[in-house]
Amino acid sequence: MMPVLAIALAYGGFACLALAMGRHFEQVFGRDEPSARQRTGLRLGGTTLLLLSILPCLAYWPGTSLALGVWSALISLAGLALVLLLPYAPRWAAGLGAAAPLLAGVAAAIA
Amino acid sequence: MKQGFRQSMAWLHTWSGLILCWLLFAIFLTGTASYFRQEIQLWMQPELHASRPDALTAQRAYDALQARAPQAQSWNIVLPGPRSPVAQVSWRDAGAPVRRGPGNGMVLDAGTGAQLSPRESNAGNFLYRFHFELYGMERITGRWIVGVATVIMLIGIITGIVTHRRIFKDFFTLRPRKGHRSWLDGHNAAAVLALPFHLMITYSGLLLLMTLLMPWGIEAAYQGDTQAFFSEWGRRGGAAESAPLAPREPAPGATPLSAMLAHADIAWGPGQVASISVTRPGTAQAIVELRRRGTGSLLDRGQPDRLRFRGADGQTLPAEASAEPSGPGMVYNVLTALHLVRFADPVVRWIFFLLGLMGTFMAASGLVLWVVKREPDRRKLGRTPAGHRLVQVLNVAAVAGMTAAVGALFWANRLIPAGLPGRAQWEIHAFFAVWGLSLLHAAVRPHRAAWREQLWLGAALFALAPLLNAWTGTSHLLGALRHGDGLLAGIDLTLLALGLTLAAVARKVGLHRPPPAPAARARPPRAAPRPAPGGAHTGTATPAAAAGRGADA
Repeated sequence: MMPVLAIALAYGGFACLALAMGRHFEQVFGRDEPSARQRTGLRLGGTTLLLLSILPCLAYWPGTSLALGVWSALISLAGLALVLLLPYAPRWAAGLGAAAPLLAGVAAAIA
Repeated sequence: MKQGFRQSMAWLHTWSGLILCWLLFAIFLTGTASYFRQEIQLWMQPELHASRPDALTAQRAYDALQARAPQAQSWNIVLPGPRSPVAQVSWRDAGAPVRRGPGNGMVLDAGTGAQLSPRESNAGNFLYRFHFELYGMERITGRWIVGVATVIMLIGIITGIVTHRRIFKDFFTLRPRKGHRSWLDGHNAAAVLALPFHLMITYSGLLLLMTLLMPWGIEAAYQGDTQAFFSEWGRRGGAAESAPLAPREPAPGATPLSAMLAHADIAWGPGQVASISVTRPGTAQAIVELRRRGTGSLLDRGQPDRLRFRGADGQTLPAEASAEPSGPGMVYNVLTALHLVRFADPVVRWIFFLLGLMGTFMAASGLVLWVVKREPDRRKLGRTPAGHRLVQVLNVAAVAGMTAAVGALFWANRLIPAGLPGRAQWEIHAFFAVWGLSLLHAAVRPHRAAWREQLWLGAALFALAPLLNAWTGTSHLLGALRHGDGLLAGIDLTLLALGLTLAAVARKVGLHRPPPAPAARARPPRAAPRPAPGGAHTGTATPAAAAGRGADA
């Protein structure tokens, strides 16, 4: 469960960071730019989620060295998923960015 | 320098990349396959597939050694685990030289203890060895070539970062159905998103070859005695092996293995023992060592935990002290352990496998990009220059042909009779035969047709491999799924998924229709998204370029 949670958090983080950029904001919402406040919020949220995704890795893999090494590989896959999804289903890509961390968080809390 | 820094870096990236990318693709592909070397080896030996481990497997293996080699100097048992359903036992006779690798050994059915005789096959190990020392030449020569390619790869990564002007702006950007643009986006995404992995795998690859590529430090410090360096560094070979031998005394009453295994279950949790070694079995000096499955820390290169027992009375012995690694030693350990995936975690193995595929795609897309980017030149010329044609042919053979050749390895494994002498070698011959033919095929067929046909061949070979397994093997995918045999089902499903991916790519190449000639059509305005003429990955950026491609195909 922990690797899934990590990848979900990282995906959410990358989705926020992407939405903070005009090009992807437009892709998803049809408007051309996020407001300055939205942009700051998205960047802050994205960075936080990305950093949070380290925690499940540390919990799952016994050594810190291994956990950090795997984390850097794991967020690559999360980013790849977002990049592949964005051009084909931008709304889904953004929606998943909100849903995935929540769902995975709830599932991890129950399990 | 007349050009700017970035231009010269772009030049270096393009040309160093082109020269070695064919080789790098092969290294990436076989290296990625090596993450599942054991699984591939297992698939290649269907005689082992029926083995079902249970709680008594260790005892059966122990008994088998007792019956077969009671006088041996040492025994080793590799228990079945998540990556292998069989028990492997080996022993060393007294007075036999200490060698790496098994001396005398048997493969046992984990459920019955019966000796299995799997077919001779080395395909998984062949792919693994190919990725760092190639084939058909001196090992050292092969390693040198791979080492040089790795240095070029590192140059490619660094120059690629410098060349990529919009590394953060384009971080999440993929624009499909835009020809050259799409290929560039794909190449960038595969490179930038997995950058930590690419840097790690390239740099650690260099570290693994460092004593070959840069031996001078060791030669100077050890006066040319490199063996002294390795023995001091690695501290390989336990103290038990170097201890002077006392005369053989029969053991009064050896402790049963089950008691020691129970001890390990308490210390590590159930099912954590990976292997058992016994020195001087059956004597009063017998020492039993249990090794745990891979551990978590990379600092000590994934050295497993051990438990040591005195065989005579089951008393635990203190663990052998291992030296604390130094700072540079830790860096080496962390990076090389990551490269070799020196830990038994399937999640990590899968993550690295997928990233390896990203690296493989990065190399392939770089090659395709070289050709696609030069469409306007060919259009202007009205023909394909010999140099371009050469790159096209080599691209098809290096990417699609190599992939199909790996698929052919699986088929050769099952179609070559199991008892044929030298069959392991024939499997490798089949691999190179398919690869060589793919080059010939690419040379005589039009560019796009060659891509399409070879991709379909690879797709068929991979996607139908599970059927081949069901037909020629002892198990099949549905049966494995029903029995909850995740290992064998996982291999078949992975082959199927790879085949379907190749089929999707082949279909895209086949669907591509060159857009109408430039004169017949005005260029649409920039902002309006243009409906795609066909394949996303093979579309072309400009109508002019497209027409040029039409002339090729």
